[in-house]
Amino acid sequence: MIYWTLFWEFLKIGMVAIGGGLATLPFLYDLTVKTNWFTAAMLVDMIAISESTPGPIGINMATYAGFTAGSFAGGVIASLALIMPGVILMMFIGNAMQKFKNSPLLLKVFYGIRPAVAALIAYAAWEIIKVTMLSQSEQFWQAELKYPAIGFFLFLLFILKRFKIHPVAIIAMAAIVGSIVQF
Amino acid sequence: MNMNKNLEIFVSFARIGAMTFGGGYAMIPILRKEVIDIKGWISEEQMMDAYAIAQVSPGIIAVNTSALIGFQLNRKKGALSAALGQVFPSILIITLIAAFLQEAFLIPVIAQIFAAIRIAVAALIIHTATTLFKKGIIDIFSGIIFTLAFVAIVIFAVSPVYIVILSAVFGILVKSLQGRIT
Repeated sequence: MIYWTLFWEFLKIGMVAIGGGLATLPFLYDLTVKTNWFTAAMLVDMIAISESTPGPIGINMATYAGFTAGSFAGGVIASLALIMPGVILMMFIGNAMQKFKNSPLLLKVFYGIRPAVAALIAYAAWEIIKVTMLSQSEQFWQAELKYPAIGFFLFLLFILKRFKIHPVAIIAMAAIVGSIVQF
Repeated sequence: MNMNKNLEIFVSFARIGAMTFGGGYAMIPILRKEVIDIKGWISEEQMMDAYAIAQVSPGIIAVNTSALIGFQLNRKKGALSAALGQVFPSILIITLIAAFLQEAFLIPVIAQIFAAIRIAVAALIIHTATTLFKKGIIDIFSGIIFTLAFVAIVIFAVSPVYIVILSAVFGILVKSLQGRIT
């Protein structure tokens, strides 16, 4: 039965994909070979749509792939199967964290991890700046600056710093401007 | 803690899921607003810890982050409420698009709108990053960890999984040696 196969395939992906939504991609390509649920060309469209709709990309793609394979129930089953291993693991880790909250070892671990997380977020910012504000080129120092995008970026940053505005208001503002202006 | 608490967690994380455009990192500004600024549920340090653990765990980073925060609010039921809340908008929206709107979604003006939204996400991340830097980089050694991690990931494309694991080891070493000296 397709629901069982869907559940099992996405449960497996949820167990091995470390690194978030895009880490599930190779496994989804694998499914285009192993099953006749969807083709590699359909997968490209799915990725484009999953990246531009709200929510985690991995969940969006799982829902999409599951829907294509087994309609509404297929989408729900694929998504829930995908998150199950991680969520169960988080329950165990959460439990351990509460138990050892004041353990010196855990405090040392988090002392080391927090600046690394700051670096990961800085990296994410750098990646997205590269994509949105530099022209595409082999090496980033050869890229040209996209001045309208940079101007818009600085404008939004100024508004964020100046006013205590909700992130969604910024996104909505960008959506409206984006419907008129091409960056 | 009761049923309403779980519902409250579900709704909060559904709101986060509906408003996050992009990968796990794009969620941080929205998550911060909702669970720290509005609800006051956790501290900035707790959010960073949850995000780090989610990075090195199998599964979807945003969902794992939510589940871990949910667990801290109301144990297993909290984790489940947060995770289901997080994925609920995705499932709804993607199902609607897959069923009815696929063609409409691939037209150029939509791509143009999302190009603008990505600029907004960049601004949001930079804005949030500056507050998180203050929480993560508290002395010279954490500054060194930050610099090494940033160089490793940007120049040498080291996987975030190794970055988090190595920085944990580094943290243990530095703090143990400091304890030995003083």
